[in-house]
Amino acid sequence: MRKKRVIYLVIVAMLFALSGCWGAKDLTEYSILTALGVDKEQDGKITFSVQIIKPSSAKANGGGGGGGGDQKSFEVMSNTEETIFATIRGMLKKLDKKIYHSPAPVIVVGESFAKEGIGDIVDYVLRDHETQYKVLFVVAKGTTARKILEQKYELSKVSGSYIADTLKSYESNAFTQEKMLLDVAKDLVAEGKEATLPTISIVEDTTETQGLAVFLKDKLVGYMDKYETRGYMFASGDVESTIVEVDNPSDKEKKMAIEVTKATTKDKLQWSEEKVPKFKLSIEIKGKIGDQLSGTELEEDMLMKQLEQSCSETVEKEVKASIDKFQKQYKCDVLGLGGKVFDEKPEYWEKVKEEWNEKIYPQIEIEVEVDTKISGTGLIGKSIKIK
Amino acid sequence: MLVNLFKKNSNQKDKKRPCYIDSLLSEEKIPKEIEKVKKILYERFDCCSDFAVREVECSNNNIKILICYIDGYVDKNILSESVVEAIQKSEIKTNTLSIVDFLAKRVISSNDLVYVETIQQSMDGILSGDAVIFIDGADQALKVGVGAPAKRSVEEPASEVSVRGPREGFTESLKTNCILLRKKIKTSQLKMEMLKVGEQTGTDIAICYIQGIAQEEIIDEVRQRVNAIKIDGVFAAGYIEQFIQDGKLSLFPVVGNSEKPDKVAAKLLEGRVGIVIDGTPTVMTVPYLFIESLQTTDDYYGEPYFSTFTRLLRVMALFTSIYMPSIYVALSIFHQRVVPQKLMITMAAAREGIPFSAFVEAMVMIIIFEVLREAGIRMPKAIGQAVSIVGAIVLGDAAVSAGIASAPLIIVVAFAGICSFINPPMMKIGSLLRIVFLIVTNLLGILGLTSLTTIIGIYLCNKKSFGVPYLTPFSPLNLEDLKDTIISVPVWAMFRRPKSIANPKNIIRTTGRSPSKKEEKP
Repeated sequence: MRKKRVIYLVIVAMLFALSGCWGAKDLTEYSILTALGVDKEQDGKITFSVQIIKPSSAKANGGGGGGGGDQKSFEVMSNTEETIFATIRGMLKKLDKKIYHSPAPVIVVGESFAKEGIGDIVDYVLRDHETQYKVLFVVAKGTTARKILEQKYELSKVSGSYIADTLKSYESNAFTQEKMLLDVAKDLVAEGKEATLPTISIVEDTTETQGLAVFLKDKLVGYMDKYETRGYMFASGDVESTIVEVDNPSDKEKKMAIEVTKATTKDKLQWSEEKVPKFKLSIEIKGKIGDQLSGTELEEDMLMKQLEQSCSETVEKEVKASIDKFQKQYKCDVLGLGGKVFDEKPEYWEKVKEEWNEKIYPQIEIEVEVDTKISGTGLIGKSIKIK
Repeated sequence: MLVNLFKKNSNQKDKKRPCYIDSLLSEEKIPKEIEKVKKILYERFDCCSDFAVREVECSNNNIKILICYIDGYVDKNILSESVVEAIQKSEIKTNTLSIVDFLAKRVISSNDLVYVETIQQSMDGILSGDAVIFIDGADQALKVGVGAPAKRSVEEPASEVSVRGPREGFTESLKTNCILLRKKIKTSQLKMEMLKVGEQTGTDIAICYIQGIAQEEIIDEVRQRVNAIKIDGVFAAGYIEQFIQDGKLSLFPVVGNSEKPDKVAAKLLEGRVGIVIDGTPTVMTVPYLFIESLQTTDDYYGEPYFSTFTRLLRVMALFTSIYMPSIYVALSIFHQRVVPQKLMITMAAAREGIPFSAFVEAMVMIIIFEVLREAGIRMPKAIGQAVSIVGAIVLGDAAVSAGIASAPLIIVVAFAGICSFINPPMMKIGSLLRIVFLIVTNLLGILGLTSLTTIIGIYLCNKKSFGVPYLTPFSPLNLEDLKDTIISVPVWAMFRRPKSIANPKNIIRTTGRSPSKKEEKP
């Protein structure tokens, strides 16, 4: 009985501890941040850019105030100082209200900053108690973070969440990958695994999120285009769905699209007599026919087999190309092979880890095996016959 | 200390109470001499202009007979036909019967006839609308019910509306109310014990229960508590409620009130005790549990799926009405992190330019809402529209466009207010708790909200209504009784009466649906 009472008391006491902060500050006393950008100046100073929402003009339905459609719904402010924290604090000389980090869905890292190392900013954001762990990181490819933040979007008044939402939705095409704060931090500290971040670039009037940025330690070393990105995604088993374009077996001029609905990747380390381990990737793809550009009859089993084979070949090519780039050009183990080696033979890893990226990793033989199964033809069997 | 002071005062008052009340309470016999009776009555009814005495004699002898009544309280036609005329025409023969018996058995044709022996009894009769017949030389008097008090007819109750159930409601007359109950439960096991409370008003109170179903301890407890009431007057059920409820001051209702005979009858069948009070159209039922405030009669008359749905709605509404404004304030001044970004922008946009803090804003709107509600009840019906126009348009819309209050907050306060109307018994305490929670939350955020919730939880767990824990069947847990709480099973599946209330010897309510062959198609 007494024990029961103590348990109840503890449960009740826990309620109080779980209730969150108790510093009162009205919502109207904060500047609501929707995106954060960080750049490095040529003299080594850090520039922070904050995108602050103007709530009344960003409100979902425009409101009765008559803010007008073309009115900018946010303001970008920048400040340059020596350290990150000082820069953010210094921001208050230009702003009337304290910055509220929590709602910011995205942090844009300028190219210049990424080249010098993203460790600092990740460390700062992790340390800060206001930012959320689900904040997304993105690299401004070929431009500065400030320019990305200043970009206006016709479809959304809150551009920070617009960027985050494009990242999330385009990930379903496997041409980019969303990375949350915790993922980035994990990549940075993990043994034998290098980090990648999604990129954003300015294209004409808008921005585009496509491809990944490759990091060695925490410094930007290069970019992957969209097919290399997909190759990497297949290799690491992160593809949720994508569209693979293959040659039409009956008409070589034209292409067919195969929608990948599921892709699973298995990897296996093979230890041989030699010191360098071999690596085998087997990828299993399940898909269906997405569209068909010419009037092919699809029922024939042969045709399906041909399609399956050419899909496998395409994917294999992509995977090999991207692996080749990591091994030969960047010498950067983004697939995390080193981590797998560490898992299986820690003693061996201890010996090689210093020279892993430079010497051993580029020599590893990676065997890729792709198996495709096409199981459906969409809602219609035969393609429509055009008169 | 304060309570003690009051106690002392009341004791002193007891001692100084005017002596005529004491003599009223005494058992003074009716004197045989008619002149003495007359003198006593005139003394007692001194300066009562409505007190009337009629002196009559029989046709064959000169025995004086006094008929006393309150003018206007009795039906004069009945009085003159069945009493005055009958006596005047009669020829009294006192060979075998005494004169009182003769009058009672042979002369007076009224059904409602009682022998009385004391002055007090006869005065009670006169004051409740009976005519009392005193006969010279007899130490007994006859009380004849000829009353015709102003009565309201049985109407649909205004405060409780039922869609499928019966529409009749209790009236102010105790007798009508008892009959309404008797019509529902046709068994002699339905007992109605009469008591009188109120030394000046002498209000009749009937304690109703079904013998064998209600627990003896609970009936005794009710009897004791009602008998212990010492007060000059009782005008409504609320008077009795405050005297008999558990604890001097109770935050939550521990005595049930209903205007519907079917509801009270159903509660009697569950083993509860009803208290009918003359002059009030609400009948009280005890013990009253927390869950009863979420139950309505339509739950049992309708489809169980929908009843369950509405029960859940009511539970949600109860919490919403109490918590919603304080959660809004907590989110906007303490815990902005948990608000999704888009909602936060909308909230911030709405709050932009408003000169008050969220708390002040919420407090002002809640008070305006409460004022409107109270005005809606109190005002004369003729000007009813003015309040709704001023309330809805001027205060709501204008407050937003003037930038005094934000639109989301008005939605929050208005919704919380509407929610409180779903559970009428909880409405009063809900309104108070809403304000208390708002104040606490403004100081401590969700921390304050959880603390106060814990305190109220402890309070409720400790509470009892006539010996039954208030939170039954949740705490103490009773699985069988849970069938009729936040879910509502079909009536045929409520096999037992509530275990905590009904007499354990007579607990079976229904044996359920027996599989009948008629249901199958021939």
